[in-house]
Amino acid sequence: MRFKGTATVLGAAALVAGLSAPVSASATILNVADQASASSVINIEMTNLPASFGSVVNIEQCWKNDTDPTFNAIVHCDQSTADNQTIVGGNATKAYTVFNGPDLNLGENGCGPLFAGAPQCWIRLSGDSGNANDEFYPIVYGAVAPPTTTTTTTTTVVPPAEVPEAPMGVLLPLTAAALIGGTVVVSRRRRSASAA
Amino acid sequence: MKIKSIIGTLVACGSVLSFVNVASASEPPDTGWDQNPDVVIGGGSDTTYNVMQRLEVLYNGAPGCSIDKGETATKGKCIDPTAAATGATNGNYDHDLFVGATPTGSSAGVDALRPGFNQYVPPIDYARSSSSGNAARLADLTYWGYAKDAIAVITFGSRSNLCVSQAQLQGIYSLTITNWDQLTDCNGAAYASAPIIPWAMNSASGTTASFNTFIAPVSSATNGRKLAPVPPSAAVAPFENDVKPLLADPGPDGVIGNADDDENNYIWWISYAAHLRYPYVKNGCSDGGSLNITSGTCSSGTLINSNLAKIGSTPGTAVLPSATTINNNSYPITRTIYHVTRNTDADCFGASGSTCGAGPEVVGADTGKGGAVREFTEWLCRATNAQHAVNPVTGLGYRSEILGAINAEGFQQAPLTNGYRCSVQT
Repeated sequence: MRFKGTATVLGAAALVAGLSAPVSASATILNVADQASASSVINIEMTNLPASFGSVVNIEQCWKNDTDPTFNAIVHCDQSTADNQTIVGGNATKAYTVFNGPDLNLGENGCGPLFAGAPQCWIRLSGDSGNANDEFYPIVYGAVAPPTTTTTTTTTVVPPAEVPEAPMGVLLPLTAAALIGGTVVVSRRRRSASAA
Repeated sequence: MKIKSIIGTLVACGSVLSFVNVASASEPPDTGWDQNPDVVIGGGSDTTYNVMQRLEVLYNGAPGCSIDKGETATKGKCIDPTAAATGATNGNYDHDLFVGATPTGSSAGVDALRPGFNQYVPPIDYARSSSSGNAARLADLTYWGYAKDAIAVITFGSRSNLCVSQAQLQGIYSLTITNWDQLTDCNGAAYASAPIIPWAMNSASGTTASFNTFIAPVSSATNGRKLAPVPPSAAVAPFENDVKPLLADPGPDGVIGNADDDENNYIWWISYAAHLRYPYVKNGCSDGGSLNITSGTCSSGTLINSNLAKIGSTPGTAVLPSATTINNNSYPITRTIYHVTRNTDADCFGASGSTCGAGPEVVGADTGKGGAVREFTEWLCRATNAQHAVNPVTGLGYRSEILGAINAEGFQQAPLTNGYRCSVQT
């Protein structure tokens, strides 16, 4: 069994508690998970996956890793949110949804800041050979900046109609009232690190 | 001595009663318990054989009545056949013994429970099925769907990363798509020219039924390859969930190792749960070699791995089978696996036609094997640990234990439906 005690989180990010040292040889988690949300998507980039993994890499979220002698993947990982990705040339990438709080299978275990005691959550990667060559990466939870909204209001003032001096009056130019009551521009400032 | 014996018995009963897990007020007044341990046999599906064996073992060890352990004529029976419970009534009160007979396929198993059909040898009392019931079967039987699975489409060897649509699978099995260069991988690149060899599967298999439902009206039985006949027997389709017979097959010309048995050209399907958990059934050796699962080497031939295909109308929308795609129904070939009972033995509470009342109670037989089946079924379909007894060895509630057994075999637990942790067809 291979234990990867650290994971690299790339990209601009808000201050993250618990961000640890570089870099894993086989998997990189590209963004933090939202510490305030029950679920969020993390992007995992995997390289040099061993041939023994077979045609797919299996991805699970666990609340223990195999440095714990009691670790059992069936008991200590959420089997209902397990996912996978095809391996091509030893590489794979996956946008994987992680939970924060109770597990989604029975709700009696869990991990992350929203679970009692905030136990560490782990990504477990495994392949065909079962437990012998699985790898673990810590999930980092942190503040994820919400989308920013910018409001801009534009008003066009239409000049008053011209009053003719002649008693007969003149045809007044019709001015199409292109009155713009207000224009709201909403822009999202996306975090570069969260691009999938 | 008699007074001491009586006092001793009272003390023992008091100790036992302190561990009694009293049934909830919502339990119906009649149960399947009769204080007699019954030996109850199940049969049918191969796909669900392993998971049901795990569940049977759990149930056999679940707490129940205090039993007579003395050298008496009632050794092994509940010690006191009175109305007062002497142990957990939401475990296995009678200490019935459940055991699974070797698989014959889902259809053969469920039909063995029905009047007018051939029984198993020995006769079975409940069935395992990896496909849903039809109207004729549901007239006699109730299907208790306790877990979910997917049908994984697989290719072999060097052919990987296949993205294939339902229409293309129909084309493959109707022989309108016959060459790999008519298909592309998930990067959009066409495969090199080579004949596609689609395999058939045992017709009694629920795994076959589920796949045929997906490719209907095409049937895999029409053009799917069968194993080379071994005289005097005719050719037969391979049993489900084991690729080794395919890899060992010499092909129609009877010669191992030439073009008509090139494993890289094969396509088949398999239970995703089996594929996930058991490398020994999804991989093998070509040309009759034996796979050493420890070393991953072949005694002869070449190691051939099977590869999961993505299913979808386009490579961009195609998905792999996984727990996530099974549970969110984004993978298009999912199925429920069932524990099947005679209606007279176990049916959902308040059943009216095909509609169940609210669970988790199960109604049916009061005594004997039928009553035992009834109580096992209710145990299987209870939704929470609060409704279950606690495993006296592990300390876990039996809902956790059942979930662990289901997940250990690669399945997903069924969604909570109407108070049952089973999807009920009745």
